[in-house]
Amino acid sequence: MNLKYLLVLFSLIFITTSCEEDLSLFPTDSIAAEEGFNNVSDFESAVKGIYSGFRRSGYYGATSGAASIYFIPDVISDDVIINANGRRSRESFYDWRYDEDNSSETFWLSAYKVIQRANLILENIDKLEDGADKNNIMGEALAARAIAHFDLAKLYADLPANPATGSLGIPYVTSTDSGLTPERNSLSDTYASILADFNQALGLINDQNGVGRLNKSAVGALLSRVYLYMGDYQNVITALANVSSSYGEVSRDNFLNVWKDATEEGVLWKIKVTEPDGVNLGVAWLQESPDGIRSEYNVDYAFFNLYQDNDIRKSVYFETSPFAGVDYNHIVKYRGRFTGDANVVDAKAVRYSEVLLNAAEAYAELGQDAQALDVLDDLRSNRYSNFVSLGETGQALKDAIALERRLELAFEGHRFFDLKRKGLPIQRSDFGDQADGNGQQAEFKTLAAGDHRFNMAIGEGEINANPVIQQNTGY
Amino acid sequence: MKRIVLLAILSIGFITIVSAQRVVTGIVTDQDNLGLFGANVLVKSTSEGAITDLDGNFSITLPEGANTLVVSYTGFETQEVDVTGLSNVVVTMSQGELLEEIILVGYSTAKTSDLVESISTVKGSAITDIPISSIDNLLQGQSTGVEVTAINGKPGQNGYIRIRGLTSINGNNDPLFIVDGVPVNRSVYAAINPNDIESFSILKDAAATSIYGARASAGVVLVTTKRGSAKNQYVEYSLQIGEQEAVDDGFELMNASQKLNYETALGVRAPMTAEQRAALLEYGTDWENVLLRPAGLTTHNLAFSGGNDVGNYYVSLSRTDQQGLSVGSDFDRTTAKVNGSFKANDWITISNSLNISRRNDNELRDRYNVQSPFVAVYQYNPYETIYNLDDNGEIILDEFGDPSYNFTHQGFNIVEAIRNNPESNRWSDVYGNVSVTANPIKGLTLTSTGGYTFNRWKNTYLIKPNSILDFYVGDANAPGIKTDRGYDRDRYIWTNTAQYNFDLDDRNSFNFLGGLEYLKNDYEFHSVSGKGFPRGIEVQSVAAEITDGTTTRTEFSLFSLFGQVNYSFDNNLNVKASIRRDGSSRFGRDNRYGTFYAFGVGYDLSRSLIQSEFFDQLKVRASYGTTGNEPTQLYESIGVLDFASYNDQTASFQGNVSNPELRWETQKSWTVGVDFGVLNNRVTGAVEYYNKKTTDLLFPNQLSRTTGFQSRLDNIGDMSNRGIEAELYYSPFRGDFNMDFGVRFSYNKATMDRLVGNEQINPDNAFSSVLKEGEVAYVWELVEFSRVDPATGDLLYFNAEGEEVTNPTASDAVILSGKSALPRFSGGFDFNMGYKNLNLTSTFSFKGGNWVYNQRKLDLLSGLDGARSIQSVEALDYWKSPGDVTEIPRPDVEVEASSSTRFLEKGDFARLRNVKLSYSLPYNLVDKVGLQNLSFFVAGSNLLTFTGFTGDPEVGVFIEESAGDVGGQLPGEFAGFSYPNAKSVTAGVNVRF
Repeated sequence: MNLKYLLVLFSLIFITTSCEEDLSLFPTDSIAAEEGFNNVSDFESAVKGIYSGFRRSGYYGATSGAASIYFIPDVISDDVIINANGRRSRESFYDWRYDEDNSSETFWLSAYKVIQRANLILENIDKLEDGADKNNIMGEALAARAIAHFDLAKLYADLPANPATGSLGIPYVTSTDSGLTPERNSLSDTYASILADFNQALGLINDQNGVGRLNKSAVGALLSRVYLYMGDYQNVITALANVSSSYGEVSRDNFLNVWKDATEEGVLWKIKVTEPDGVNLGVAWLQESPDGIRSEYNVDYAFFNLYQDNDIRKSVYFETSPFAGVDYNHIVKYRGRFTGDANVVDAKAVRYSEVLLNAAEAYAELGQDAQALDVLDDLRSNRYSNFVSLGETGQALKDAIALERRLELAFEGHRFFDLKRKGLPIQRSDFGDQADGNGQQAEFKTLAAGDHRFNMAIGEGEINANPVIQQNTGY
Repeated sequence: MKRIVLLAILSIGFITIVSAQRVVTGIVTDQDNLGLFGANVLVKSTSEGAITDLDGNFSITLPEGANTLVVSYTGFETQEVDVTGLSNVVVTMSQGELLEEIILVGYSTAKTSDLVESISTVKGSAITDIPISSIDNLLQGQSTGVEVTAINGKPGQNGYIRIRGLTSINGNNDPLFIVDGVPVNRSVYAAINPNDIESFSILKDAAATSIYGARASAGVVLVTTKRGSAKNQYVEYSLQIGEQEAVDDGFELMNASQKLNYETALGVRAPMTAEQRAALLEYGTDWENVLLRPAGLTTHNLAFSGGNDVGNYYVSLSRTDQQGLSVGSDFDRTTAKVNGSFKANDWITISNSLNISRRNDNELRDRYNVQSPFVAVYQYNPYETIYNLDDNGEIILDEFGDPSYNFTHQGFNIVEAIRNNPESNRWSDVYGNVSVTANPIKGLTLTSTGGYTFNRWKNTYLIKPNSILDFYVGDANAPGIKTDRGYDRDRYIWTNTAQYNFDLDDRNSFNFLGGLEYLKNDYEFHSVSGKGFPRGIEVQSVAAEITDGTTTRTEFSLFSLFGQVNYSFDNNLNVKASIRRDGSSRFGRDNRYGTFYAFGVGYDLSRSLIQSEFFDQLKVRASYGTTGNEPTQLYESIGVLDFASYNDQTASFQGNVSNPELRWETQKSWTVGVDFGVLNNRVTGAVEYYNKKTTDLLFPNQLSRTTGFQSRLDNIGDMSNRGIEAELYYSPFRGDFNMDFGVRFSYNKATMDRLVGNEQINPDNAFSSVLKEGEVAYVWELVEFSRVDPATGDLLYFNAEGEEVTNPTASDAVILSGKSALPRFSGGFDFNMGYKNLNLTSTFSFKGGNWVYNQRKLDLLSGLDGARSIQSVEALDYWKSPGDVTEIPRPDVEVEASSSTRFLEKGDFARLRNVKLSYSLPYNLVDKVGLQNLSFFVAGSNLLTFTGFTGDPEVGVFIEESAGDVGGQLPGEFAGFSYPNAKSVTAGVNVRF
């Protein structure tokens, strides 16, 4: 009776529920990778993807205890002392107790993410028509690839100026093949590739790309840093010729504004950080608490005393104030902007002062003391009130340049590499963590020149996944 | 009397018509002519019924024209008795069909005696009155082959159900959980009112699970909720109240005086004058007392159930209020349920199941730092005060008149944080179905069921302005931070089946089943954060700035066809075969479909081959079949470009490494078993052996980081689980005095059979245990600890060469063959006895063969590394001078970061899970006041524990907050300080009329 109607009904149900097409579901928040490179706008987004890679935890950004190229070189050097009442974050780095499973893996991965993003652009670049846009995008990608490899090389391998332990560089990756398990390139090949990418980038990149992106001046300055680390002083000077004369040294009056992101003066390249990014650079050094600034690390008392009272940096970089009733010299360089969340600031990756310092050092090493003193005084006159040149020459001039470099670039990720490239030990002072040098001293004070810990251990994740990667000696 | 019950989704109506009647009396007895108390006597095709008294007597009023009684009693065969012209009858019940219980088996039902599959059933009545709010945890120890680990002791917290071991490494390990035909997520387990549950069917072998295809590798749990019946009309109210407290942590902490001495001796505190010392000792805090509390619990349950020959209903309401063991954590749940069915005509029946539930709780930080109260208990010192005190010991007030909190050596105050950084959750869950069943011709049943679940979660987290945390992370110009988050999950499932029963002759009968199913899941998450909340106002509209906002959305779908044939010969031989084809959106186009099949056979020797009086049942059965497992990730077969922001502009980058060749994880398993009953079924039991092999394991295969990625989802190897399950029940006494024993034992060994291209894998969800070919799954890899050097006080370890060294490296870690974090055996033990209306029931559960890293012990014996925080009194026994033989090293020796065997302990334990004493008032007494039943009980949970482990051996996950969902962390591997498990004592009353 009703059966046939029913069977018809069920057949209908069968047909309507044959939902083959509904099985092709795609994420709602992304697109197929191959569809991402069609026009200049797509490529521009991909370039910004590179910069967001620089911002990642482990590269310039660092949440929790992760290593960061911006802080770890200072944490492991002699400029800071751990605060006994801080959270003791990154203490294993401070104590030089890093090894393959307690190491800088987040940095290693983040740097290669930057490289992969650059390579993905370069592999697709011919989808763009030839012209200025294509050149500039290519220039940015090449420069970013060089920077990331250089940052890896300086942390995991010897610096060519002081090849202490061997001849290994780092894997120089120029492909997005996900099956790669590369060996380490030799140190000389690594640097040759870095130089090649930088030099190619210089011929392609725009003079200006706006705040937060690389430009020709920044690339030139970074290239000078590479040459400095290679001990190739003549080329330091040559590379710096790419820095536009429109940049100048920031004045004393404006110096605080640099660290509050209220001016771009004297900043060649910075990694922009906005509040929703959730990156709090300054947390590496301190947290605000109702009991006062709670520092993770304070400035070392001996180093602190190298800052003279007429040095604008002393008040911009430091604040002496109590935490839980005890005075400390806090590092407030990244404490935050004039308004907004605590500890959220941009990462100043290349500044004009480094241009001056690189030039001064190169001139001095080349025996051109007059030029060296000239650029050094350019910096010093913008830092000290009532500055009068001391007219140093010879070793005194070299020492003055080194001192000024340490004072100016403190907590910007330079100190450790400046010691490493010169083959100097890390020697911490006998002072404690408090404002007057009392308090708890560093548990470990000396890292002898040539110690294997001047090179980080390659992380266990890489070792496990890549059987041919060579670990650094000592780990 | 004729009653028609109309059921709509939310409303019920009754219309009652009365007509002429007569009375029949009688007695119901067993084979030995002993009266049966509590038997159900019902007038056929009506709702009119009676229950026998203590001596088995009954009296029933028959409507005009009615001449048949239906008499039923649990454990006996139901009988129809013709009473035409009779006013008094004697009904003798037969026990022969003791096991003839009908249970749910996939898309159909079966008599337990016909089963060829491995299915455990757990009665709803076995798990009511246990004060646990999430029903997964209620299954602990209740059946063989099912191991449940609670994540932690938080009210409403989930557990991990593992059926026959670990199915997958990175894929899903949770069974498919189906409530009344609708698959639900883990988050819904705590939304279910345990009192609503009729039974659980736990499908364990492939013969049972294969019909669920691609989602069934980890087993299937079918939950059947109660339905009304004409035989059993009642209104029931039950109340349970009780108190819980944390189980013993197993550590004795230093007191204030000991701690001060310890700090001075270790040099973290300068020597003090007597006055300084006295000042510190004058005030102090017992942090455990401050942060933990005896927690109250109240549950009300109201149920209405009944029906007639055309319809039935079950309607319930419940409310549970449970305090958390920690101050500031509470749980409440309100549920409503409507189950109904109605015969639209003589061949169409409609039915529904509808559940509505709302839950609220408070979230405490469960991180491994001082923001978690359960860590804080072990970090603050006993001489530290909660508030800043003046010289007279009075609390100092701040500018707002609030007490000013002491920052302690941690720079934080947990009591303040609980008060000023509240986080709360609200879940709203609706799930149910509407089903139409038609029997157009004899033997043919067509069913179409539409199921739907809707889950909503809302979470708010407020860092109040000027709270301590606000100083640390907030903006002084816009104080206060608030985040509102939530998700909506919308899932529908449409299932159509056709079943045909066909008897060839008296001995050969067939059952055919065919069906198709479509499931679609939509999930949407949103989050808004703002800062700057004027005191007291906590909505985002007043925020000085909205700092972050996001929505995300994911979907997946599954389309399936399935079929099944059952053949039964002479009621002795049963054969079953099934097949299912699933299509999943999670795979690439070429690998989208998977076909799964199973075959099972069972034969009862006691009925034919062995003509023995001894055996009541001796059934041998065997099965083989396949199931699948989808990746938990939804889109790994596609390479995608992700979008983010840089400098407030669009940024894009490759988000994953795609694997278009991704295949189903496939499981092949076989089972052999024997079910038996002897001595008139006074002794029953079952023994089974199984071998489950999972091939093409889905796992994020590690990539060289130089690719810019850590891993890519891949099919990387095979693993197997082999095990034995045995259960034995013995009832030496039945009758007024009764006694039952039950033992359930399960043994399972999970082995990594093959790893492709990897010697060893260190999975992300484990701390120090690894996957290695030929080894047990998650075998420990640690540095072997030797001893404390009596000469120097150093910790001595064995290096890879077996020499004692003080500074081992990661490469000195060795595989501890056979030692795994996974339990090797588990089970339960029941003892029940009763005399007339007084009953005692108890269940022990046990688990063992696993090794646990005891991070808690490490934390409390950390020497100089931990001396600023409270330590165990054991730490006082540290090495002091050459020659000291002690287990505690020189205090300045660095404590290894969880990498040696020093704190690895055996996890074996047995626990008195539940014990309950209940009393029902005699029927003739309550009957006089119009009641069917009035009973009382007292019950206890987790009252006794037997273990060699230091502290609570029931280890869930280490840091629940960062563990994410399933697979985020291997449960039971690491014992850290987290929400403690509870022991409880409760009492209750149950009234039925």
